[in-house]
Amino acid sequence: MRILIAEDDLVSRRVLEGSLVKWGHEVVACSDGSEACQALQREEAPRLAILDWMMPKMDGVQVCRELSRVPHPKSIYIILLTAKGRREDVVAGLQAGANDYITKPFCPEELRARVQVGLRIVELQGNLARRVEELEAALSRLKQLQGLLPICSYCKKVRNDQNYWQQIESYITEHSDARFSHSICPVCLEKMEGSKR
Amino acid sequence: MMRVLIAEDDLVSRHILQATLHKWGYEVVVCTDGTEAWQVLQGDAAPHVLILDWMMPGMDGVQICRKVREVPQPSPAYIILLTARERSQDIVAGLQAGADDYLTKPFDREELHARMQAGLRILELQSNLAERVKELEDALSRVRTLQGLLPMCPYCKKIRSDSNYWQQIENYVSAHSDAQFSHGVCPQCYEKIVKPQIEELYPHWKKSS
Repeated sequence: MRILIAEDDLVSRRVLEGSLVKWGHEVVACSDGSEACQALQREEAPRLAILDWMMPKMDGVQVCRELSRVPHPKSIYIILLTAKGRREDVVAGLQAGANDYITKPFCPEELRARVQVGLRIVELQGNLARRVEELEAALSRLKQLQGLLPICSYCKKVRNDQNYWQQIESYITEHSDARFSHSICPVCLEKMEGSKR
Repeated sequence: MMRVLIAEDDLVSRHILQATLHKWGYEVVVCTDGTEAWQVLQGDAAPHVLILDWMMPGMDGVQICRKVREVPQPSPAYIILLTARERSQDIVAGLQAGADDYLTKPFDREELHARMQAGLRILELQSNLAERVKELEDALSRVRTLQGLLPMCPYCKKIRSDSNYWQQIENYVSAHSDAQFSHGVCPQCYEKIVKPQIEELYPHWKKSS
């Protein structure tokens, strides 16, 4: 799973990146807030981000606000990692849209556990979003069998979208999962036998 | 109104927590130990936000986290552990057991409020997605009923329905999909059937055309 980190201090960034790589994650590293914000708004952005609060250009809280202002279909789980440890800072960070908050200097195992919580949530959301996409695709294929189909009252041919009269069996087969097997209904059977006699 | 389950064995802490949540507009389901909380969670209308004390008689908060996460849910509960244990290894153990967040006692009300709101954002997103999945599955299963093998008479194009009754194909398809039929005449049938009928009825029309 890819994780974005934004931290302007070189040493802290290296330490953080080193830990995440050791835990098996792929890291996208940014050295300021506006770089992080741009990277997180891309289509293939990492779904989990660890942001420092104090950074040049945009700070971590501004990045949180910007991301929650523009609703992304696939939301991003944000952990604020900062030296600001006062209660009001924690509250302000969470209210800006961060999902979790850890104060520096951090305990690596605690960060690891909080990252795992975030990944669990991101994975669940990803699975649900994927299921929605699959179902929408399946439904749009089947939905072609809707609306008004002009049918010939005599031979039961259907006029398809290309203005071409088509056997109803082949039209339905093309637009749904239904298949036809031909047999003879009692009324037609009686008629046929009547005409033989 | 969002329902929140709290499990706390200490009477004073429980009352403070309950009153605080009530003031913020939540409906509170109060449990005095872990076993009672687990029983409530087995019910149909179990709350989706849980605030659990760690140390409780019966099941403790961490055991509840583990049990809740054992069974994957389409839209799982958001669990906050609220405990006096503040060592790093406790926080790690609590989160690894399945808690989403961890708050140490004595708690700051504003921080609890902010952490709950962060949890509610996640729950809202999850339940929107889960609801959309359900809607789509329902829609799909309605349309999907038009599948399998349909026995059709090649002469009159009637279809034998599941109740072994021969039905006009238009009716069958309309009943099993969103398609509706409008009746018209195709060019071949017009030439073969309709035109001769018109000519028979209006012989002068044939001459003039």
